[in-house]
Amino acid sequence: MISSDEYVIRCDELAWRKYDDEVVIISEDGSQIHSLNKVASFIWELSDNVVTVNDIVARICDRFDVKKDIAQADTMKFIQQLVDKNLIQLGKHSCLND
Amino acid sequence: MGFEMSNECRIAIGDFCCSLVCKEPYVILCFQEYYSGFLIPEREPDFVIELEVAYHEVGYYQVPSSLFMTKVLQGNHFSFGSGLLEGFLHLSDKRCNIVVKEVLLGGPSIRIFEQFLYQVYYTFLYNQNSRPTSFLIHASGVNRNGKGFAFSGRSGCGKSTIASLSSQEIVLNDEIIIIEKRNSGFWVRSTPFNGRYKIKKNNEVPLKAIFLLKHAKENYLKPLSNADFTREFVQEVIFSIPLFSTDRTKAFSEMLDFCSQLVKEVPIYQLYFRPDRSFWECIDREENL
Repeated sequence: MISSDEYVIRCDELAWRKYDDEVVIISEDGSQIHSLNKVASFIWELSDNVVTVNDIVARICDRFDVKKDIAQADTMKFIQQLVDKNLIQLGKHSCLND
Repeated sequence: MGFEMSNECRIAIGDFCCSLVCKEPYVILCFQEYYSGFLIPEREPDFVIELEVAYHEVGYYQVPSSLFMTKVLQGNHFSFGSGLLEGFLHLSDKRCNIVVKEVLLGGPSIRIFEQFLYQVYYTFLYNQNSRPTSFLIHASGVNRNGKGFAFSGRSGCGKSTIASLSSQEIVLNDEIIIIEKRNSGFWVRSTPFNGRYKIKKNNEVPLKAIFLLKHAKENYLKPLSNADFTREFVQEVIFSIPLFSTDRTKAFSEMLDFCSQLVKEVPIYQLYFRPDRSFWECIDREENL
Protein backbone atom coordinates (compact mmCIF):
# COMPACT_ATOMS: atom_id res chain seq x y z
CA MET A 1 0.00 0.00 0.00
CA ILE A 2 1.43 3.35 -1.01
CA SER A 3 1.65 6.09 1.56
CA SER A 4 1.18 9.63 0.26
CA ASP A 5 4.17 10.97 2.22
CA GLU A 6 6.61 8.54 0.63
CA TYR A 7 9.31 9.80 -1.73
CA VAL A 8 9.31 8.49 -5.27
CA ILE A 9 12.50 7.64 -7.17
CA ARG A 10 13.15 6.15 -10.57
CA CYS A 11 15.27 2.98 -10.62
CA ASP A 12 18.87 3.72 -11.59
CA GLU A 13 19.35 0.93 -14.07
CA LEU A 14 16.72 2.12 -16.50
CA ALA A 15 17.37 3.95 -19.73
CA TRP A 16 14.71 6.47 -20.68
CA ARG A 17 14.23 9.46 -22.94
CA LYS A 18 11.47 11.96 -23.57
CA TYR A 19 10.11 12.33 -27.09
CA ASP A 20 7.88 15.39 -27.36
CA ASP A 21 5.58 14.89 -24.32
CA GLU A 22 5.99 11.13 -24.03
CA VAL A 23 8.61 9.11 -22.19
CA VAL A 24 10.00 5.79 -23.45
CA ILE A 25 11.65 3.51 -20.88
CA ILE A 26 13.76 0.40 -21.46
CA SER A 27 13.81 -2.13 -18.63
CA GLU A 28 17.11 -3.20 -17.09
CA ASP A 29 17.45 -6.36 -19.19
CA GLY A 30 16.03 -4.78 -22.33
CA SER A 31 13.12 -7.19 -22.42
CA GLN A 32 10.43 -4.56 -21.87
CA ILE A 33 9.84 -1.20 -23.48
CA HIS A 34 7.34 1.13 -21.84
CA SER A 35 5.92 4.32 -23.25
CA LEU A 36 4.06 6.78 -21.04
CA ASN A 37 1.38 9.27 -22.01
CA LYS A 38 1.61 12.97 -21.21
CA VAL A 39 0.42 12.85 -17.58
CA ALA A 40 2.31 9.65 -16.80
CA SER A 41 5.45 11.20 -18.32
CA PHE A 42 4.96 14.24 -16.09
CA ILE A 43 4.84 11.98 -13.02
CA TRP A 44 7.86 10.04 -14.25
CA GLU A 45 9.95 13.17 -14.64
CA LEU A 46 9.02 14.33 -11.15
CA SER A 47 10.07 11.02 -9.59
CA ASP A 48 13.58 12.03 -8.63
CA ASN A 49 13.50 11.33 -4.86
CA VAL A 50 12.93 14.93 -3.85
CA VAL A 51 9.14 14.85 -4.11
CA THR A 52 6.54 12.78 -2.28
CA VAL A 53 3.40 11.25 -3.72
CA ASN A 54 1.49 14.19 -2.21
CA ASP A 55 3.81 16.67 -3.94
CA ILE A 56 3.22 14.94 -7.26
CA VAL A 57 -0.55 15.10 -6.82
CA ALA A 58 -0.33 18.83 -6.06
CA ARG A 59 1.81 19.44 -9.15
CA ILE A 60 -0.64 17.50 -11.30
CA CYS A 61 -3.54 19.59 -10.02
CA ASP A 62 -1.55 22.75 -10.83
CA ARG A 63 -0.66 21.60 -14.31
CA PHE A 64 -3.74 19.74 -15.49
CA ASP A 65 -7.47 20.43 -15.18
CA VAL A 66 -8.30 17.70 -12.66
CA LYS A 67 -9.88 17.47 -9.19
CA LYS A 68 -7.56 16.55 -6.33
CA ASP A 69 -9.34 13.34 -5.28
CA ILE A 70 -9.28 12.02 -8.84
CA ALA A 71 -5.64 13.06 -9.31
CA GLN A 72 -4.70 11.35 -6.04
CA ALA A 73 -6.45 8.07 -6.88
CA ASP A 74 -5.03 7.95 -10.40
CA THR A 75 -1.52 8.88 -9.27
CA MET A 76 -1.48 6.24 -6.52
CA LYS A 77 -2.69 3.62 -8.98
CA PHE A 78 -0.10 4.57 -11.57
CA ILE A 79 2.75 4.68 -9.06
CA GLN A 80 1.77 1.23 -7.82
CA GLN A 81 1.98 -0.04 -11.42
CA LEU A 82 5.46 1.45 -11.76
CA VAL A 83 6.52 -0.15 -8.48
CA ASP A 84 5.15 -3.53 -9.61
CA LYS A 85 7.16 -3.27 -12.83
CA ASN A 86 10.33 -2.37 -10.89
CA LEU A 87 10.52 0.98 -12.61
CA ILE A 88 10.39 3.12 -9.48
CA GLN A 89 10.94 2.70 -5.76
CA LEU A 90 9.36 4.39 -2.75
CA GLY A 91 11.24 5.60 0.29
CA LYS A 92 10.65 7.37 3.58
CA HIS A 93 13.55 9.76 3.07
CA SER A 94 14.58 12.15 0.33
CA CYS A 95 18.07 12.05 -1.14
CA LEU A 96 18.27 15.72 -0.05
CA ASN A 97 18.48 14.45 3.55
CA ASP A 98 21.50 12.21 2.81
CA MET B 1 32.83 -18.46 -57.39
CA GLY B 2 35.82 -20.36 -56.02
CA PHE B 3 37.89 -19.47 -53.00
CA GLU B 4 41.53 -20.25 -52.28
CA MET B 5 42.31 -22.33 -49.25
CA SER B 6 43.54 -19.86 -46.71
CA ASN B 7 43.68 -19.41 -42.98
CA GLU B 8 42.22 -15.89 -43.06
CA CYS B 9 39.24 -14.04 -44.46
CA ARG B 10 38.63 -10.31 -44.18
CA ILE B 11 35.04 -9.17 -44.02
CA ALA B 12 33.62 -5.67 -44.58
CA ILE B 13 31.06 -4.50 -42.01
CA GLY B 14 30.48 -0.90 -43.06
CA ASP B 15 33.85 0.85 -42.77
CA PHE B 16 35.10 -1.87 -40.50
CA CYS B 17 37.40 -4.64 -41.76
CA CYS B 18 37.23 -7.70 -39.54
CA SER B 19 39.79 -10.45 -40.07
CA LEU B 20 38.89 -14.00 -39.07
CA VAL B 21 41.95 -16.22 -38.68
CA CYS B 22 41.82 -19.97 -38.12
CA LYS B 23 44.35 -22.74 -38.53
CA GLU B 24 41.73 -24.88 -40.24
CA PRO B 25 41.34 -23.76 -43.88
CA TYR B 26 37.95 -25.49 -44.14
CA VAL B 27 36.53 -23.21 -41.45
CA ILE B 28 37.78 -20.14 -43.31
CA LEU B 29 36.39 -21.49 -46.58
CA CYS B 30 32.96 -21.76 -44.94
CA PHE B 31 33.18 -18.13 -43.77
CA GLN B 32 34.31 -17.02 -47.25
CA GLU B 33 31.31 -18.67 -48.84
CA TYR B 34 28.93 -17.41 -46.19
CA TYR B 35 30.12 -13.81 -46.43
CA SER B 36 30.65 -13.85 -50.19
CA GLY B 37 30.30 -10.35 -51.63
CA PHE B 38 31.70 -8.75 -48.49
CA LEU B 39 35.27 -10.05 -48.62
CA ILE B 40 37.98 -7.42 -48.78
CA PRO B 41 41.29 -9.37 -48.83
CA GLU B 42 43.25 -6.28 -49.89
CA ARG B 43 42.22 -4.17 -46.85
CA GLU B 44 44.33 -4.00 -43.73
CA PRO B 45 42.17 -5.35 -40.92
CA ASP B 46 40.92 -3.05 -38.17
CA PHE B 47 40.47 -5.98 -35.84
CA VAL B 48 41.64 -9.60 -35.89
CA ILE B 49 39.73 -12.54 -34.44
CA GLU B 50 41.92 -15.60 -33.92
CA LEU B 51 39.46 -18.43 -33.86
CA GLU B 52 39.84 -21.98 -32.64
CA VAL B 53 37.06 -24.53 -32.97
CA ALA B 54 36.35 -26.84 -30.04
CA TYR B 55 34.85 -30.11 -31.27
CA HIS B 56 32.44 -32.05 -29.13
CA GLU B 57 29.79 -34.75 -29.24
CA VAL B 58 26.63 -33.98 -31.20
CA GLY B 59 23.86 -32.67 -28.95
CA TYR B 60 26.22 -31.96 -26.06
CA TYR B 61 25.55 -28.20 -26.09
CA GLN B 62 22.32 -26.25 -26.46
CA VAL B 63 22.51 -23.04 -28.48
CA PRO B 64 20.52 -20.18 -26.93
CA SER B 65 18.50 -17.82 -29.12
CA SER B 66 20.58 -14.89 -27.96
CA LEU B 67 24.16 -14.49 -26.80
CA PHE B 68 23.65 -10.97 -25.52
CA MET B 69 22.19 -11.76 -22.16
CA THR B 70 24.68 -14.49 -21.35
CA LYS B 71 27.96 -12.61 -21.50
CA VAL B 72 30.22 -12.89 -18.48
CA LEU B 73 33.19 -10.55 -18.29
CA GLN B 74 36.21 -10.99 -16.02
CA GLY B 75 39.07 -8.65 -16.83
CA ASN B 76 39.79 -9.14 -20.51
CA HIS B 77 38.19 -12.59 -20.54
CA PHE B 78 34.69 -12.92 -21.94
CA SER B 79 32.37 -15.86 -22.13
CA PHE B 80 29.05 -16.20 -23.95
CA GLY B 81 26.40 -18.86 -23.54
CA SER B 82 28.10 -20.64 -20.61
CA GLY B 83 31.27 -21.18 -22.58
CA LEU B 84 29.87 -21.74 -26.07
CA LEU B 85 32.16 -18.93 -27.12
CA GLU B 86 34.90 -17.58 -24.93
CA GLY B 87 38.16 -15.77 -25.29
CA PHE B 88 40.39 -12.87 -24.42
CA LEU B 89 40.21 -9.34 -25.75
CA HIS B 90 43.50 -7.54 -26.46
CA LEU B 91 42.08 -4.14 -27.22
CA SER B 92 45.38 -2.27 -27.58
CA ASP B 93 46.49 -4.87 -30.15
CA LYS B 94 43.06 -4.72 -31.82
CA ARG B 95 42.60 -8.44 -31.66
CA CYS B 96 40.97 -11.19 -29.67
CA ASN B 97 41.44 -14.92 -29.53
CA ILE B 98 38.37 -17.06 -29.13
CA VAL B 99 37.45 -20.70 -28.73
CA VAL B 100 34.09 -21.53 -30.28
CA LYS B 101 32.17 -24.73 -29.73
CA GLU B 102 31.59 -26.46 -33.05
CA VAL B 103 27.81 -26.33 -32.65
CA LEU B 104 27.85 -22.54 -32.90
CA LEU B 105 29.42 -22.56 -36.37
CA GLY B 106 27.20 -25.12 -38.05
CA GLY B 107 23.88 -24.61 -39.85
CA PRO B 108 21.50 -21.95 -38.60
CA SER B 109 23.53 -21.46 -35.38
CA ILE B 110 25.93 -19.30 -37.37
CA ARG B 111 23.30 -16.58 -36.94
CA ILE B 112 23.90 -16.79 -33.19
CA PHE B 113 27.66 -16.66 -33.74
CA GLU B 114 27.10 -13.47 -35.71
CA GLN B 115 25.89 -11.81 -32.51
CA PHE B 116 29.50 -12.05 -31.38
CA LEU B 117 30.53 -10.19 -34.55
CA TYR B 118 27.97 -7.48 -33.71
CA GLN B 119 29.83 -6.88 -30.45
CA VAL B 120 33.15 -6.89 -32.29
CA TYR B 121 31.73 -4.24 -34.60
CA TYR B 122 30.62 -2.09 -31.65
CA THR B 123 34.05 -2.64 -30.05
CA PHE B 124 35.59 -1.12 -33.16
CA LEU B 125 33.18 1.83 -33.04
CA TYR B 126 33.79 2.52 -29.35
CA ASN B 127 37.51 2.32 -29.98
CA GLN B 128 37.14 5.08 -32.58
CA ASN B 129 34.70 7.30 -30.68
CA SER B 130 33.49 7.56 -27.12
CA ARG B 131 30.03 6.61 -28.38
CA PRO B 132 28.90 4.99 -31.61
CA THR B 133 27.50 7.02 -34.48
CA SER B 134 26.48 3.88 -36.35
CA PHE B 135 24.09 1.22 -35.19
CA LEU B 136 23.22 -2.22 -36.45
CA ILE B 137 19.51 -2.40 -37.08
CA HIS B 138 17.24 -5.38 -37.48
CA ALA B 139 15.77 -4.23 -40.79
CA SER B 140 15.89 -4.69 -44.52
CA GLY B 141 17.42 -1.93 -46.58
CA VAL B 142 16.87 -0.97 -50.20
CA ASN B 143 18.60 1.55 -52.46
CA ARG B 144 15.93 2.74 -54.90
CA ASN B 145 17.30 5.20 -57.45
CA GLY B 146 19.81 6.62 -54.99
CA LYS B 147 17.32 6.88 -52.12
CA GLY B 148 17.78 4.65 -49.10
CA PHE B 149 14.79 3.06 -47.41
CA ALA B 150 14.84 0.98 -44.23
CA PHE B 151 12.01 -1.44 -43.43
CA SER B 152 11.97 -2.65 -39.86
CA GLY B 153 9.82 -4.56 -37.41
CA ARG B 154 9.54 -7.79 -35.47
CA SER B 155 10.33 -11.16 -36.99
CA GLY B 156 7.65 -12.12 -39.48
CA CYS B 157 6.63 -8.53 -40.26
CA GLY B 158 7.81 -8.82 -43.86
CA LYS B 159 11.42 -7.60 -44.03
CA SER B 160 12.54 -10.44 -46.28
CA THR B 161 9.33 -10.16 -48.32
CA ILE B 162 10.10 -6.50 -49.00
CA ALA B 163 13.65 -7.45 -50.05
CA SER B 164 12.53 -10.17 -52.42
CA LEU B 165 9.88 -7.85 -53.92
CA SER B 166 12.64 -5.27 -54.47
CA SER B 167 15.00 -7.36 -56.57
CA GLN B 168 14.80 -4.68 -59.30
CA GLU B 169 16.41 -2.28 -56.84
CA ILE B 170 19.68 -2.67 -54.93
CA VAL B 171 18.92 -4.71 -51.83
CA LEU B 172 21.35 -3.88 -49.05
CA ASN B 173 20.22 -6.62 -46.70
CA ASP B 174 16.98 -8.22 -45.58
CA GLU B 175 17.94 -8.76 -41.95
CA ILE B 176 20.63 -6.49 -40.52
CA ILE B 177 21.62 -3.07 -41.87
CA ILE B 178 23.76 -0.23 -40.60
CA ILE B 179 22.27 3.22 -40.04
CA GLU B 180 25.06 5.71 -39.76
CA LYS B 181 25.07 9.37 -38.69
CA ARG B 182 27.33 11.49 -40.85
CA ASN B 183 27.78 15.25 -41.16
CA SER B 184 25.61 15.10 -44.27
CA GLY B 185 22.81 13.25 -42.49
CA PHE B 186 21.88 9.62 -41.97
CA TRP B 187 23.03 6.89 -44.34
CA VAL B 188 21.98 3.28 -44.66
CA ARG B 189 24.55 0.60 -45.44
CA SER B 190 24.74 -3.09 -46.17
CA THR B 191 26.09 -5.69 -43.80
CA PRO B 192 27.39 -9.15 -44.62
CA PHE B 193 25.02 -10.77 -42.11
CA ASN B 194 22.62 -13.20 -43.68
CA GLY B 195 18.87 -13.30 -43.70
CA ARG B 196 16.93 -15.21 -46.32
CA TYR B 197 17.68 -12.90 -49.26
CA LYS B 198 21.11 -13.83 -50.57
CA ILE B 199 21.59 -11.45 -53.54
CA LYS B 200 22.41 -8.46 -51.39
CA LYS B 201 25.00 -5.91 -52.47
CA ASN B 202 27.72 -4.15 -50.47
CA ASN B 203 26.37 -0.65 -50.93
CA GLU B 204 25.47 2.56 -49.08
CA VAL B 205 23.03 5.39 -49.74
CA PRO B 206 21.52 8.42 -47.94
CA LEU B 207 18.60 7.32 -45.77
CA LYS B 208 15.34 8.80 -47.05
CA ALA B 209 12.81 7.15 -44.72
CA ILE B 210 12.21 4.39 -42.21
CA PHE B 211 9.11 2.22 -42.28
CA LEU B 212 7.79 -0.06 -39.57
CA LEU B 213 6.09 -2.89 -41.43
CA LYS B 214 2.65 -4.38 -41.03
CA HIS B 215 1.00 -6.86 -43.39
CA ALA B 216 -2.32 -5.59 -44.78
CA LYS B 217 -4.78 -6.05 -47.62
CA GLU B 218 -4.16 -2.53 -48.91
CA ASN B 219 -1.05 -0.38 -49.07
CA TYR B 220 -1.00 2.78 -47.02
CA LEU B 221 1.33 4.89 -44.93
CA LYS B 222 0.46 6.07 -41.45
CA PRO B 223 2.41 8.79 -39.64
CA LEU B 224 3.81 7.80 -36.25
CA SER B 225 4.52 9.88 -33.17
CA ASN B 226 8.17 9.96 -32.22
CA ALA B 227 7.47 8.02 -29.02
CA ASP B 228 5.41 5.35 -30.79
CA PHE B 229 8.10 4.94 -33.42
CA THR B 230 10.87 4.79 -30.83
CA ARG B 231 9.04 2.24 -28.68
CA GLU B 232 8.92 -0.13 -31.66
CA PHE B 233 12.14 0.77 -33.40
CA VAL B 234 14.50 0.74 -30.43
CA GLN B 235 13.69 -2.95 -30.05
CA GLU B 236 15.17 -3.47 -33.51
CA VAL B 237 18.43 -1.70 -32.71
CA ILE B 238 21.08 -4.32 -31.99
CA PHE B 239 22.35 -3.77 -28.42
CA SER B 240 25.35 -1.49 -28.77
CA ILE B 241 27.46 -3.36 -26.26
CA PRO B 242 31.17 -3.73 -27.04
CA LEU B 243 33.15 -6.79 -26.01
CA PHE B 244 34.67 -5.02 -23.03
CA SER B 245 31.38 -4.00 -21.43
CA THR B 246 28.24 -5.46 -19.92
CA ASP B 247 26.70 -2.06 -19.21
CA ARG B 248 23.28 -2.45 -20.79
CA THR B 249 21.84 0.75 -19.31
CA LYS B 250 24.56 2.80 -21.02
CA ALA B 251 23.92 0.99 -24.29
CA PHE B 252 20.16 1.50 -24.04
CA SER B 253 20.66 5.20 -23.31
CA GLU B 254 22.80 5.54 -26.42
CA MET B 255 20.26 3.65 -28.48
CA LEU B 256 17.52 6.02 -27.28
CA ASP B 257 19.72 9.03 -28.06
CA PHE B 258 20.29 7.62 -31.53
CA CYS B 259 16.52 7.27 -32.02
CA SER B 260 16.08 10.89 -30.83
CA GLN B 261 18.44 12.12 -33.53
CA LEU B 262 16.92 9.85 -36.13
CA VAL B 263 13.31 11.01 -35.66
CA LYS B 264 14.41 14.64 -35.98
CA GLU B 265 16.00 14.13 -39.38
CA VAL B 266 14.42 11.13 -41.08
CA PRO B 267 10.73 10.69 -42.00
CA ILE B 268 9.18 7.75 -40.14
CA TYR B 269 6.04 5.83 -41.05
CA GLN B 270 4.07 2.71 -40.40
CA LEU B 271 3.81 0.97 -43.77
CA TYR B 272 0.80 -1.30 -44.22
CA PHE B 273 1.60 -3.35 -47.29
CA ARG B 274 0.33 -6.03 -49.62
CA PRO B 275 2.87 -8.68 -50.53
CA ASP B 276 3.46 -7.38 -54.06
CA ARG B 277 5.50 -4.59 -55.63
CA SER B 278 2.62 -2.11 -55.43
CA PHE B 279 3.85 -0.91 -52.03
CA TRP B 280 6.53 1.04 -53.94
CA GLU B 281 3.78 3.08 -55.65
CA CYS B 282 2.48 3.98 -52.22
CA ILE B 283 5.94 5.18 -51.18
CA ASP B 284 6.47 7.01 -54.49
CA ARG B 285 3.19 8.90 -53.99
CA GLU B 286 4.24 10.27 -50.60
CA GLU B 287 5.22 13.92 -51.05
CA ASN B 288 8.08 14.00 -48.56
CA LEU B 289 9.83 11.08 -50.19
